[in-house]
Amino acid sequence: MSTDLSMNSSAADAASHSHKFLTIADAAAALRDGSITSVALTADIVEKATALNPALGAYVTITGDAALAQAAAADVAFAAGNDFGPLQGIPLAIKDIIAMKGAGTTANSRVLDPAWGAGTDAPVVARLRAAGSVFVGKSTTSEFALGMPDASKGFPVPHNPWDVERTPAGSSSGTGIAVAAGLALGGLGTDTGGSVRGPACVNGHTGLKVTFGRVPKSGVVPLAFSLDSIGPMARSAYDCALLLEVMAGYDASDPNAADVEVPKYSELLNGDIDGLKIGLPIPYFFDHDQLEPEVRDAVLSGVQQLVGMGATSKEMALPYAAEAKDANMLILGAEAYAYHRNNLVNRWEDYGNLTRPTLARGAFYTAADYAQASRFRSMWSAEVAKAFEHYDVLITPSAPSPAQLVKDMDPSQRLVQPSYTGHWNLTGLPAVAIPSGFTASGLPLSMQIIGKPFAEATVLKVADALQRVTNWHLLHPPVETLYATAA
Amino acid sequence: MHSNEEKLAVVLEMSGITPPAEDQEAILRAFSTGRELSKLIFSVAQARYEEPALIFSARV
Amino acid sequence: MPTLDSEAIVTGLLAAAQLTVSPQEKATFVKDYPLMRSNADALYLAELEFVEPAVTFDPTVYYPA
Repeated sequence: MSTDLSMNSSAADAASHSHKFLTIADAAAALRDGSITSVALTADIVEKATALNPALGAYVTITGDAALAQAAAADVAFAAGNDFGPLQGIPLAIKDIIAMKGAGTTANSRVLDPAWGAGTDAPVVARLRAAGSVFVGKSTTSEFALGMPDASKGFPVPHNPWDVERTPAGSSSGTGIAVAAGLALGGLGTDTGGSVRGPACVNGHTGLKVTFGRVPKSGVVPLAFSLDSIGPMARSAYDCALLLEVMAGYDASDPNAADVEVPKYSELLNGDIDGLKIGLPIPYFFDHDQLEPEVRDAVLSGVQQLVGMGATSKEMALPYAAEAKDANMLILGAEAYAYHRNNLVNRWEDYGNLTRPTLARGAFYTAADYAQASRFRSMWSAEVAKAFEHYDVLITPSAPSPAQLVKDMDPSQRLVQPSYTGHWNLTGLPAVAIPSGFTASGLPLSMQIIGKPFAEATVLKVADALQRVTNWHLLHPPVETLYATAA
Repeated sequence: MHSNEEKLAVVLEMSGITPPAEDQEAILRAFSTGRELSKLIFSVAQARYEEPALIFSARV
Repeated sequence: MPTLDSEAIVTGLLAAAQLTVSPQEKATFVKDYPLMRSNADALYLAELEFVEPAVTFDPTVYYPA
């Protein structure tokens, strides 16, 4: 597997003013050695986010003034010797279904009550704020974390910065674009069936879906109550660890939150994966006829690199993998429909034209279907747990193909195409998507590492180990060409 | 506007249930009541932003 | 033996859900319905006969200690 080094690298840009392509870890070091200030970093990012929003649609709202005030406060704190941790002064994107003080929440929809979440921070946002982070703005989301963009509704339409004719995936599209294009150094997404991992996959960076209950999800517009999670998105697994150790932990406001200790994830990433046992579930995940060979080969190449570092890998099988994908979709559809049922009746036309048909599918399932899907969920969770008696992690592709052309997409595809992400929402397990290379035409490829419940440290450790010997996560799209388009 | 009889026919078809003629009246009454109960449940404004009572745990 | 086609079923379900959709939207629902239904039916596996659901109810959560 060769890497096209003609693409811009973080190292090359460091000599220029492109601090926006730094990792959180590198930016944190630069803030502390005085080579940059949070105000300068934030001003640069806010300026570029504003200039590129017409072309990329990363943000619904850019909170430039508030961000600069946060940045100034971070710089003052540094100068006074007050250090709140590695996220101090770091510009982040917050997905626009998460409540954040100082900015409304839209869920990219005309339907959401404008008063929803007003004047409050979701617990996860409050934690990031207390850690001294800077919030660049509310990033674009698929409508209610489910639909596809409807340009007629007046919200920014997100575009993949590697190829603007292609999807940036969803639903955490905006944060995915922002991290890739240097319009934030990291940020929040949510994941119910793949909405953190999908954008990380096609935008060429790292995205972690956490164990169900790891991060409190109160203050987030729900999509599916028993599947939703909030996850960090950033260039690297190490950066995701830095974010997660602030985000994670019990909060009484979320009845699903788990009261499980939060380790210092970043300190556990030591590159040592000697003896790690990797399972490769071949049926469905590696042998589907819609899985593109470049995707499969990149994942297997990454696995070989991990084996070269002391891990072992073995092919295995998980039964009913196709049915598990459908069970996730059914539960998601039923739970989402319950939340939207009255508004669908009274405000059908206010929903986007590609959102409402997907939401309405919930009306076609019976109550027994939902109960049965939940019973299937029990069985499948037990089967996966049995597999984890023999392996430390499972590895799969993140998606069957790289970013699709937008013109070729339609919501009905989800019923037919294979999908590799919803299985881990169904089982509530942690799963990280990381870059695994590029296609011959220069599009990001991605692999997914899945672990046992609350084993975020393990999946991030494996991801970090691979990122110590590859640089795909540090490459970024040539966004300079987009300034002319945006002008 | 579709009658409850027409909607019931669809639900029975979906479920693969073919009740005998003598059961139809009782099933129609039950279906109509069920529809009303569903409407009632969705009309409770206080429940608009509530989480479900059933919780999933990844660890069991 | 089924007596209603997808068009009739979707028409009835949309009516039961009180949804008024465009002809194009309805056509998509009619097209997708058979696969949706068969995917849901595929979850009624015999081996799940005695399996409990994954979501559980705990009455004590409403009573703070």
